Amino acid sequence: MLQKELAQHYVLEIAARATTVQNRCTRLLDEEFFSTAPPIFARTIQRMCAYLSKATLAIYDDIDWSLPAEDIDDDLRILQNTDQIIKILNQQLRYVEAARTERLPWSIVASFEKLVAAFLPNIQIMLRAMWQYNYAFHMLDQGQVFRRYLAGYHAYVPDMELERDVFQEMNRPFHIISFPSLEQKHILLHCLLGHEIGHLLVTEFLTKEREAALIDALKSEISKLADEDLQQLPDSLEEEARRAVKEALIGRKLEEALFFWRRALEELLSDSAGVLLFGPAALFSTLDLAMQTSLDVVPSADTDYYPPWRMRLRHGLELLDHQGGWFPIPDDLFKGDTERARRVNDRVSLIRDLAAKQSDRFEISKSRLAHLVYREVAAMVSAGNLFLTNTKGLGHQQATAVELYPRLPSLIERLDYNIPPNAIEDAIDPEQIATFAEILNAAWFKKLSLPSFDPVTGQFDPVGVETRNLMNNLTLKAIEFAHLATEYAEWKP
Amino acid sequence: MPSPALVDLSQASANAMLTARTSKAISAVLRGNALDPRNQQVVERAAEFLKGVVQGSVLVENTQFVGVSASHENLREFVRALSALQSLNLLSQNATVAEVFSSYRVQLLDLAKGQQVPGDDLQRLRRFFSELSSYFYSDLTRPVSEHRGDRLPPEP
Repeated sequence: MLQKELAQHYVLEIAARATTVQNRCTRLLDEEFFSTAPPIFARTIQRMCAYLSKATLAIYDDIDWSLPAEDIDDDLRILQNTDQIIKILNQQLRYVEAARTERLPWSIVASFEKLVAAFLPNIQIMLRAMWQYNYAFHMLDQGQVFRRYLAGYHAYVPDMELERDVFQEMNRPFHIISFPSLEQKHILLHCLLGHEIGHLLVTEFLTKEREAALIDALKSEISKLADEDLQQLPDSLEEEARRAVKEALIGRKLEEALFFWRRALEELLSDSAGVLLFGPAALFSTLDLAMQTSLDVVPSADTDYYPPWRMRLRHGLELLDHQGGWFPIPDDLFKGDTERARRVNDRVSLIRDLAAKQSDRFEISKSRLAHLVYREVAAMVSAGNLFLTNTKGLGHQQATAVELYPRLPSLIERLDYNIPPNAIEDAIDPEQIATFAEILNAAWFKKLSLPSFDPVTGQFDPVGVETRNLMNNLTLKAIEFAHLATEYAEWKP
Repeated sequence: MPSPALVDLSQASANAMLTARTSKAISAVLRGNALDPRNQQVVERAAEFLKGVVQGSVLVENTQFVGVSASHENLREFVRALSALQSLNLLSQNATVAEVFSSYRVQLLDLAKGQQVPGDDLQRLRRFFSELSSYFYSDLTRPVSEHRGDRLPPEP
């Protein structure tokens, strides 16, 4: 009886938690959002909680209280699972909270969504700020994740249809992209959003067949690694236990290898996408993030298996060199000001020097599993780049030096005069709207062409931060203006 | 680091739910009840789940197994299922792990078809699924930051 009373108490608490989450959704939905994605996300969570609340009562009703205590453990586990899902959904409301207009670099949201739609028209993305300092792409389709959570409950709520009653609004792949809230207006860093678009494209490259090929390539070597680990076990261990331990070791190492491989290719090929979309600006942004940590951090569970920054810089630089025409940058970009061009070229030389060092590869070789996997990664990168340019159409959209450089001088000049670089007005002809890539590169070249400290004294300039922020704001405004002008040009009354 | 972006708990939740419901369905049979259509569906899905586990074990054992091809897609489930076997001392000297899982799957399929399955086998199956459910549930409830470490320890 005591157990029944406890279960009733628990059911009441689960239902109360579900109600709280639903109420939070209601309050959040009163906020202002720039895109339709966050309200869809909140309303879906609201409906999921209503569904789980109903399921909770049905699970309770299904318990046979005449059975001994141990026979109702499974029912309690099902209740606990339900409770846990509600708690997780509550946590996920933070994504909606951080996707409110006031938390976003809203000037670029519309342009960014349009850019994504150019490659993946059927995908919904939700941009959100996060307190943690990182850019992150949620590879998992949130719609699929939500559906998996509720899949086992239909038997308890037979009168409701999941697709009709819960997921009616989440009817296309839904992905979350996070950026550091600290950099809300740091447009130069937001070139890395091009990298995040890459994540969406790369998913289709990392197929089950390619995974299976990796497993085939590594299986025998991983089995040897497991044998070496087994030698550390006591000889007294029984044969079947030893066999089981070996199988567990192989299973976990294979799983780990897959994770290493996926993460490496996800990041490197997403870097490729960033470079293809935004040219040198993507490389400069990567260095800005890379310099905040060590360049040779070995991929591991602690670092979410990110490939080392040095490898990523090398990869980006190689891709730009392969495209050709980018470096050294011509003096013409600054209307013949050789000093400003030299400063930009110095930055490129610095990246080249960093990329030439092989210390990242040495660090990776210290882990035998990582070493094996990165051998396979290296063999796959070229095919991945081809996939992006040919299959996913980035080849047609890519920024090229031939097209981009002639348009930069007037954009850089506008920035020099504190005018947003949203249009090219070199002649009496109708103005030409600048592209996302042109605006970002103009801003990067302008920034790199001038010293960060006072050029005369060589000391930190107290107004330098304001100048930097002004340029960021001008660039953000340019992206917004260019988007509005494009929309207006396409608009037909 | 974007750990929440990389960790999918929904599969652990779905597995915890399926395995708990399977254990519950087998308990009902052990008490002499016939398998109702709802529980029959649960048992069939559990058999399908075990097929993935067998595929993982065939891959790891690097062996041939009649009617089952090796696959890496359910390696996590395989590792958890193996842990459940170990903790319940259900490993056998006379059978490989793949054979043990495969025999469980056959028993589930027999049960779903309404055929008789010996009581001892049912008891073992129930314990296995109950234990497996607790493994998946603990995956679900661990803080996300710990999932990052849910890998092998660093190599020396």
